[in-house]
Amino acid sequence: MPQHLQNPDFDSNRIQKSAADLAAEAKLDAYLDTICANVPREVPATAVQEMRQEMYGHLVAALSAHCELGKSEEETVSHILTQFGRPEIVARQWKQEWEETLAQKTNAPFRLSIRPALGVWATAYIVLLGIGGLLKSSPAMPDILRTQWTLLGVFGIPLLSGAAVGLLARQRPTVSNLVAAISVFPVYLLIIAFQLNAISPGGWKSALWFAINPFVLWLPLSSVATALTAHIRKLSQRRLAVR
Amino acid sequence: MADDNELLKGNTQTLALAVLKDGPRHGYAIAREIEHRSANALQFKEGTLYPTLHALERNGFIVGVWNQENGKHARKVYTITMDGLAEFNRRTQTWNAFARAVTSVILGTQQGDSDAATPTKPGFRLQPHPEISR
Repeated sequence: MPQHLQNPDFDSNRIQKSAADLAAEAKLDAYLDTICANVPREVPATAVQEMRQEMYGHLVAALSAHCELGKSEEETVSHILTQFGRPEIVARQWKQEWEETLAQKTNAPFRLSIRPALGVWATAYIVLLGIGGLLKSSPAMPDILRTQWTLLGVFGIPLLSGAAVGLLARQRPTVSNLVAAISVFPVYLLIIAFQLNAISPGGWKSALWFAINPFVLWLPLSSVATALTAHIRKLSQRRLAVR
Repeated sequence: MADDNELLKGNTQTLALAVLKDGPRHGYAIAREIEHRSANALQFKEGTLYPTLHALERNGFIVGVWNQENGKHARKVYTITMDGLAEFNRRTQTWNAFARAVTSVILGTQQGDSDAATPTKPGFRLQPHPEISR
């Protein structure tokens, strides 16, 4: 058992660490780094430090116990890390635990989810703007191609956006999706104002259809996609956690 | 038993409370005690114990205090609270009722009968249900 691992106060500068000691320390550090990297940003650094220190203490105690049995250090480090669990699984469980901890405090979970949802919907509206621009700048575009682009805007974007929110928003994904979609709606109105002539030369009747479209079609469509992907994500997480 | 992760995962909190009921311990000692009491039958990935302890602490069932002994690593020692004891008793009752019910189903008896034919009694042998063996 290396001295610097047994005692955290040990002055490592006084002796030259052996290559085996350094290798063991590097392995433990890399392992714990993987776990701590997944902790939500809202968790205070001191709390992350404590969790790391606690797990480090466990690994060192296990290392010490195994080395007393006369096993080689390299073999022991690999063994105790296997016994501790795959880092991504431990990290996932910590992440879930921290998210639940944050969920008990004020509106932290909603804040955690609304950010990615707003990002997704902002991107979606920018893509829509791009599609509108494409249609406007290509008056000679064949009707079939124009229809395909329009269908992508009307059905593809809400479905993809909803699915992305379901994957990214960890807490209350469906509510986050609805709030984000409605929040960015003014941008959509701007798109209509600028692109109406190109997208729908049919006049105000078409304009009305484009205006109410998000409420009668996009919101339920994206909500279903969000709920579905969030459910699939939870199922896959559960399967990974028990592997 | 090592493959029965799903069962184990759902009961890690109960196992930790059961160990802490008998005195304060740090995470490593809790893992060793579970292993010892189960005669190595319950082997779980020890890293998953720490989020579990964190959850128990968050819910007020245990309290963790950092303890620094001379020349050793600082360790977080956990102690069960009164709420934790009450929670442990509640979980124990739930577990017993569940285990009795499952045993009854497996043996094909009613719950009252299964107490007399519990598999832990000496000389007991699991017999196929007459209806099934026919």
